[in-house]
Amino acid sequence: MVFSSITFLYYFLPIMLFFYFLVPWKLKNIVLLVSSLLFYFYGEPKYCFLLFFSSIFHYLMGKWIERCSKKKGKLFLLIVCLLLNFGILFYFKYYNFFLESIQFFLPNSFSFLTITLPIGISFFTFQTASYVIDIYRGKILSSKNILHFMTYISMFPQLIAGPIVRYETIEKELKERKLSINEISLGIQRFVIGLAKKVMLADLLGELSQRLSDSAPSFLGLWLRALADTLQLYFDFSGYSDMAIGLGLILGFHFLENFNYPLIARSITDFWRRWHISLSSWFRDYLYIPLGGNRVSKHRYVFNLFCVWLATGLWHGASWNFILWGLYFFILLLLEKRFLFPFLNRHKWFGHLYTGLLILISFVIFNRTDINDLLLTLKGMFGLQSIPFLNREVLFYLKEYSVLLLFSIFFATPLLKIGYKKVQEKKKCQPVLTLLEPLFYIGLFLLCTAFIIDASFQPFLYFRF
Amino acid sequence: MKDKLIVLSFALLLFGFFIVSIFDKDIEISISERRVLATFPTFSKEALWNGTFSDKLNTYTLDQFPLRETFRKTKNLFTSTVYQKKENHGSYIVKDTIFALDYKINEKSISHFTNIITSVQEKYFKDKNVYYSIIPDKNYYAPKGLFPELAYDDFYKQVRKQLPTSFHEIDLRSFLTLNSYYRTDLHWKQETLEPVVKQIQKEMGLNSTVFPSHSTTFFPFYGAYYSKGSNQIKADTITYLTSETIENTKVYNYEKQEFQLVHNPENKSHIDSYDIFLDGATSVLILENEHRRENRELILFRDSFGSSIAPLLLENYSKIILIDLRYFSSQLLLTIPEIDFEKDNLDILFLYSVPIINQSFTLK
Repeated sequence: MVFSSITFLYYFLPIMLFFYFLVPWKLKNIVLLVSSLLFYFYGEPKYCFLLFFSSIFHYLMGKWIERCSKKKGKLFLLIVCLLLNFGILFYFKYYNFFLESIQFFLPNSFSFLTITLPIGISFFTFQTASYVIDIYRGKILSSKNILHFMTYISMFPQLIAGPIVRYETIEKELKERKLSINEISLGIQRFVIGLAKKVMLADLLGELSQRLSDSAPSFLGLWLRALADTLQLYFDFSGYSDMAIGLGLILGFHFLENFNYPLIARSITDFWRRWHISLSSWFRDYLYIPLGGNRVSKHRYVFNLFCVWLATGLWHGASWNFILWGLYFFILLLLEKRFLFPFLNRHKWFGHLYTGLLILISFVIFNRTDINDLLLTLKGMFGLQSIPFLNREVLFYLKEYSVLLLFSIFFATPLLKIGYKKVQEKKKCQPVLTLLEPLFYIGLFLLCTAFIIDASFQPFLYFRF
Repeated sequence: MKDKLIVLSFALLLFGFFIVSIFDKDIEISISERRVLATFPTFSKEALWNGTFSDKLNTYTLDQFPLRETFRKTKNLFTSTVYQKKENHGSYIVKDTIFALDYKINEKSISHFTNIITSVQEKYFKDKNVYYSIIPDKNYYAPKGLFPELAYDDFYKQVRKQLPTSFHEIDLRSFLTLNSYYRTDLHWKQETLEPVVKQIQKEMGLNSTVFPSHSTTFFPFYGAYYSKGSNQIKADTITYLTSETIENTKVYNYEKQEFQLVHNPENKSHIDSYDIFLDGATSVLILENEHRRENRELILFRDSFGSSIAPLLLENYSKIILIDLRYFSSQLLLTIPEIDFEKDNLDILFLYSVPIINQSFTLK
């Protein structure tokens, strides 16, 4: 089930919230757990048990790691746990890719399996991994209540598309949390904003990208598609994170921010501080720092960075373009740290342009799983392919989607947020905002509903009867 | 206060729509989309387990959501006014007319089309007068430069090039205008077809006849594209023409094995009011003009456009057999006893519109 569906918004959510707010405190986690499992079951019935058993397994492993008195024993248990955890991830996500890659060198040596990727496996695998590692490190105590732990792993707001929530972030709230009108209202506002990002911007940008992809290639068309893809990915993913954070607030949980206007970054380093923060901080804390971070020799430092970005690329998908995508950032970050930082700090506007351009290219790599297609696109974008500068289709779509693109670029910056804060600070505006804000959010929510419903429009034309 | 208002109104919306959608009666048909809406899916363990139940439930909740049409119109109003988008679901609105954005030549489809009609000609009508005519879609007459359009000259050339020279082409492009088409539909208007009929008669060596003058009009006619306009466009008026010949013509529906009317006004209440003309989509129809002295017959291979022009050719023929190759295989023509393949005065006309030729894989 996705958040931007009628089934979720008008069936699952009201029923879930009704029971959640109706039952006494001690039963709220049960309601949350049952509804989360139903939420997962609805979209992925087969793998519901995988989620269920993964939760129980990590709960037990957490306890054993904590209870084990010997350091080596703790480490052994942790390794076993991580091997199993990432082994499951490898099987579902990377097994066929791995065989496919080996097959390149040894043709017809393997038979592939028909495997469906369980929804959200990359997210809950990383959550469970962080849980056992943090127990091993003594950073947190293992959960004393299996119900709380299973609620943490399967909590529907962040189950299928993140953010990657660490146990320490919501440990206290799993036991005891406060619900206030103010926070529920903030949660609703955040949820509606996220939904609007997804259905009113990202989906239309995706439509533009698809139309450009179906058009004859042209130089401007390829760059326009790169822009549409970048904005779509940002609004889609950050919109989903906003909805997750908003739902968390409605239910009394405070998840950490996952995006902070990444498209206004002044360097690639800055971009990764703002984009998918929960993932980059996960890799920092559980891979980069354990490898030694930057307090090592130069060669080792380069190796550490390489490992992190190879893993980051692979996390996003089992395909060579994702590995290339990760390595692309590895090279850029290395160059920045080694040479570019002083220059970028002195020339801020250049920094924005440079980052924007490199991010556009990065998402071209991200979006093309076919390497030949990727190479052709990159050649075309850099004038190395004999394609026209512009064609009638691109001109048409540019005209049709120009307002949407301008809106999207504007909303990708914090200008609206800054402006709104200034208005909020003015006392005169307070009474007007009190009335306008509810109207705005409700209107926006209804408009989002309209966008979702219109997506079901399937006219049946006479000549295709 | 503000927070209370937000929470209260959000809760009212969620629970309000939830309750209304539970108790609201399901709608069977969407008139604007011309399709049957989804019904509540049948529950089974298997459907639940393999995910088809949830997929169908998603479709059901979308199709049966309260005020669905209003929501759709709101969205389209928003995108057209705020995003300034004139394109909507693959159509484009210019003033009061809706155009379909089909601008790519499908070469494989053209080849399929020409292969089919060539094989029909070679197999059954080797020595007959064979004509073909491509009906341009209304985009041909749309104001230029607003949206990408099909390269019509290339399209026509490709069809010509792939057909044997024995096929005589009747080019209708100069005999139609934008006004010849409904604003909200893809079809041409019967009442505007006089120049087209005259041109066909001229090219096929037929006598010029008096164009029917008696007309019957219905309003509103919501064309196939109407719903994409989301209330921004007025509905069309549909008109059919009658004459003594048309009224006296016997129409035999080969598929249903029964007689029907040339123009059936009752069909105006159909999902597609264009069914007024010869009852709409039908595989084989036999039109017999018993008052015609000269014993000349026409076999018209056609799409939906043919339904409105065929009655206008009745003055020239004693019998017109309409065959729609989307519903009747070209391999089965010998099974139609009404076709006299050996007849001397037999004309063959392949009359197909650009959209069908460009998406011809349904032709058998």
